[in-house]
Amino acid sequence: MPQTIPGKNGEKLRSFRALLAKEIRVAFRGRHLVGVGFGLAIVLSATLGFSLAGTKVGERVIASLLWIIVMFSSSDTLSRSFAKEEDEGTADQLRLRVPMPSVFLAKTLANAFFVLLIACVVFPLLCFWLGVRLSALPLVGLLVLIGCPALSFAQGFVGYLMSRGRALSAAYPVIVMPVILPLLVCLVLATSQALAEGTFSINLVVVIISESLAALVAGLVLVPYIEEE
Amino acid sequence: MVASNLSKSFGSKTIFAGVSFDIEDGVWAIIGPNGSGKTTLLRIMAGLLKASSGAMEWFDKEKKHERFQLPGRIAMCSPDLGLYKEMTVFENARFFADLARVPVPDFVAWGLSGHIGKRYHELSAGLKQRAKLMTAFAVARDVILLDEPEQHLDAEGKAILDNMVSSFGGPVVIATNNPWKEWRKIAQF
Repeated sequence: MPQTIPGKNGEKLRSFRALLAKEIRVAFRGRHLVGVGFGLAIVLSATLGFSLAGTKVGERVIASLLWIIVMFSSSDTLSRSFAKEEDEGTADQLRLRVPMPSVFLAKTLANAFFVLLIACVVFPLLCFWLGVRLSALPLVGLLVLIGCPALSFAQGFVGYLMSRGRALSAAYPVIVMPVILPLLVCLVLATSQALAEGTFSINLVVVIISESLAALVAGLVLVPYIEEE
Repeated sequence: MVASNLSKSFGSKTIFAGVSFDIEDGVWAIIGPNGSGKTTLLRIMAGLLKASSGAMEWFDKEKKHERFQLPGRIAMCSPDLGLYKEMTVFENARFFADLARVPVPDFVAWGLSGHIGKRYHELSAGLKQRAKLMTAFAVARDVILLDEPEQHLDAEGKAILDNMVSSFGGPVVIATNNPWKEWRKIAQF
């Protein structure tokens, strides 16, 4: 029988690092993230860019386009990742080895990274096509940095829930809507304010961070109960 | 591992009822035809499934472990459990070894040294089974549960498996529909 390598403090971190690295490796080697996620982001950005090039587009419209493209390009990455683990029997392998909240957290954090990468494709393309002022970019960039993990955290628990109750998967948009809508509205409002370079309400940022953290903590707390049932 | 009067039903269909056992060190076998509930019983023993009634106690009767307290203590190899098809044999083994905080397994002992760079989905069915068994034995700390472990294995693979089962220090529970030969020699009924 193998003996566990000693070292208490580093053990959980080592497990978690392995989970994170696995998520990133599997996502980049699979077809979905690159083919659908990035593909959709580029096609949507280019289509809108070509259609709207040369026309005067308001800040709120640009902000809406940015976040809607990011959300649609990344919307099912996380729920698909959970469902794929269940289908291929790797979810049970993980259940035998680590507590499921660790798996949930690793998947949600990895997805935040993927959403950020998708935004890194969408954001420069839209800025280029729609003529966003360079002076607005640092604040909008900061909002993208905050908003992408926020979107991922808000989608996390719903994605996990879908994988456990497969009959619910058709209702994903309806179930995720009440969680994601307030966040999306705040992100659009904050980004449009940043693009307009006028008054910027820090309260919106506070709401975005608070809601996303609340969704993440709720997920971490509820996952063991769902597993138990 | 002690089970008292376990039963499992899915809807109105009862898979099994009144199952009791007390498993200590050694090799144990659960033998039965297809659909008799062997895999379901193993999943309950692994803590992956909840029994409809009865009680399952793990490890220390005084402590009364709950299902969600089990991760890391039981290893299982089953047709329902897979490895990551996007990762190589080595990456899969290292990943699960990292989760279990044990060293990477001995690929030579399982006859997989020539395949460690291949992705899991590129392997033949027999080599996939070897990779799954190797991973299960590498991370097994207290108990190992094997569901149809000889599935797809060739004579060499079966010999390796026999050797690993015999040399494992803790309880090994094997579920099979093939009540034959070698396991009878080593299994306690």
